[in-house]
Amino acid sequence: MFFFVLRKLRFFVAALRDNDSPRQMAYAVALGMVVGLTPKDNLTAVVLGVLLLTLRVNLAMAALSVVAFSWAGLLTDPVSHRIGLAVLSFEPLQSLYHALYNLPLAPWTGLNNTVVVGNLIIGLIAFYPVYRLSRHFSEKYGPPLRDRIQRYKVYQFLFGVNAVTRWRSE
Amino acid sequence: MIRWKYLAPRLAVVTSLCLFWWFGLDHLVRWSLISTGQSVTGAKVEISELKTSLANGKLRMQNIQIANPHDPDRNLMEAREAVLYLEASSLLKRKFVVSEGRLSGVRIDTPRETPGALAATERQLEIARQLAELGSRWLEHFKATLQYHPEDNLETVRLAKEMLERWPHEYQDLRNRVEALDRRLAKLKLFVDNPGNNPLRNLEAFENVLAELDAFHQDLETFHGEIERLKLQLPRDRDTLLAAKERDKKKIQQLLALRHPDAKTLSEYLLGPENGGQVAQILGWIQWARQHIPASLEDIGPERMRGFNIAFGDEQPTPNFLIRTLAIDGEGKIGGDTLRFHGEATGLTTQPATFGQPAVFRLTTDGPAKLKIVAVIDRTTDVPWDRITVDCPAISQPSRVLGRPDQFSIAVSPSNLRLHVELELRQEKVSGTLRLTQEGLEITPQIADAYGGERVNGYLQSALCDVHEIDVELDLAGTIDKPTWQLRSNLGSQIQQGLALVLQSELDARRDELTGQLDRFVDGEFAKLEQLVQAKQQEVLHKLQLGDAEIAQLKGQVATRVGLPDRFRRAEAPLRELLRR
Repeated sequence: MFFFVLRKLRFFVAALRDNDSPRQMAYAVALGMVVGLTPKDNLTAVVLGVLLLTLRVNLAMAALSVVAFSWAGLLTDPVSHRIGLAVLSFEPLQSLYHALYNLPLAPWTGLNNTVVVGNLIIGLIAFYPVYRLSRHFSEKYGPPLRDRIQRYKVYQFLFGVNAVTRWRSE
Repeated sequence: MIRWKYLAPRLAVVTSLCLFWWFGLDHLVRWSLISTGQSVTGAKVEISELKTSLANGKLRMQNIQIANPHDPDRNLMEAREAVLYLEASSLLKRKFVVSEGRLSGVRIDTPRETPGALAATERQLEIARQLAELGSRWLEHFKATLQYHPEDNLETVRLAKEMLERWPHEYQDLRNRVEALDRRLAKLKLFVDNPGNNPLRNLEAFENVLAELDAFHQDLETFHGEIERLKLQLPRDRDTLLAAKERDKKKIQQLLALRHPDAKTLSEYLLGPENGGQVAQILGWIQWARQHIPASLEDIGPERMRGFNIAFGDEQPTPNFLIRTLAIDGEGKIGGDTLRFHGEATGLTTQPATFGQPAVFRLTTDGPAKLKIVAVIDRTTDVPWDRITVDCPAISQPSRVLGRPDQFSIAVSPSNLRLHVELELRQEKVSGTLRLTQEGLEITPQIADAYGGERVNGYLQSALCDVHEIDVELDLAGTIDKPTWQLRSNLGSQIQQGLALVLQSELDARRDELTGQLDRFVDGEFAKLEQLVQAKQQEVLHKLQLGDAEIAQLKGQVATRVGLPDRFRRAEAPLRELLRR
């Protein structure tokens, strides 16, 4: 029973750490940033989350990125509020906003909220720079970091068991 | 081939979300409603169970309790169950619009220890007492009038006392003077009886005696004159006493005049405390409701967490939260009695200005007394404007006592009461009318002993036997905290005449009694005076007569001593002149 549960757990953890090429890691960080910065009480955050899950990116890194940038989002709120206010009060686009706002589910998206729009814009602007930076770090520091993690007993315990379970099944 | 490594984690996340949605949505909505309710009321909100059904937009809550923010030991409202049907189209626009709902088992202001009557403010109760005071003052004046004892203030009594003191003094004075004369006469008699042996010296002495006798005679004449004067004084004193008696009778008549009670004073005295208390109770409920329905609702809503929501103008502006129709049933306490009610509320919203229509409550009580209440709570403008109408065609009214049993009261027999209240409140100002009509009743008056007692009760009962209806109208004005009211009723006018007649006859009897006493007093005192004067006069006259006889005798003796012939003794000239001839 213990080995059965352990096998399933190992499979799940492996799935999470799958897609671990530097490119996929970088996309995970960038997308996680966009999701993390956006306030979570609206449909926009849900859509972004679904998008994150749909794409073939490293989910573990994406999850870490979402958590980290959620905290960082609290610090960017004053700036994002100003940006969002400027965008939402832009006169030439008012009729467009009016038409969009009256669509069904539109109020649930939160896109009439200054912080949501502002953080979304910040996320989109910062997407490529964060991707590039993350890819660079992943390429440079990824392999040494992987080697270091593989020395941990937890990692060995989790993935070393694979040899024992295969031996038992034989 | 299925790529489980790609699918498994994503399926796990989606499954978690679905499970969370399936099991956690109810808890999430419950938490959301509780926090919103608490931010709106500022008090604890409890919902024991909540079930959502997204398919038909139904929300079902059980055992809802909202605590009273001003009294943590009481509940503002309790409800056994609430079922709300949300409009899907409004939900898509993030508007919580309840097309119809049902609130069952409502109980308002459920205290744990005390009954449901709200304490009216001291000011409100004071006005009810003041109304009763006005009539009470009139009754106290009547009582004081009835018990008035004027003896010490009457001119007649004072004059009679003076006379009874003065007359004996007058006669005593006369008597003293008569006694002085007696002594003088005795001296003269002594000399005449023993003149001495020297005839020449005796002659001179006799001349002096004669002069003395003449003077004595004149004094006697003066005394007679004074007695005559006193004789004439007595009838004058009697006339004075009689004139004073007439003036005193007029004074008694003025003092014992009835200050006719006006109908308004009587109505206020009898009906003021009861109706004032009821109005104070109604205003107390309104004040309580106003405390929990804020003047402005536009600012109420959940606190924004982050950022600023810009509303881009709905095509059809709808409030964020609205209950179009809510059926209500429950129970409440009015005056200590538990009444079940049912009805509906429409237009309940946190944004009345956006909605553009006031909230309307229509409630009807169950049971024999069908009380209908329509309350329009208008917060669509800056000035809160509430209209309340209460109508009850028949409330069974038990027997009760109006007025004060220690003064004047009437016992009203049981009958049906018709009630109609219309109140309007703008900001803090209140105006309106309360109308009560009670028909087919019998009244039994009761007046305390100090005001006539059983003697008067009998007359009063027959005077008021035709009163079968009481109609009361209370006009309200002022503010909720400091209301003023005017009471009008036909009760005062119905009993005014009868009461005035009976009390007037009571005062007439008292006045007759006093004037009779006065007549008897005057007659008695004057008889005493007459007796006194007669006795004293007899005494003095007797002494004066003796004096006359003795003077004549002495004159004869003197004449004999000096040898005067008879014809000169009988002469009219003074004896001295005769001696000189």
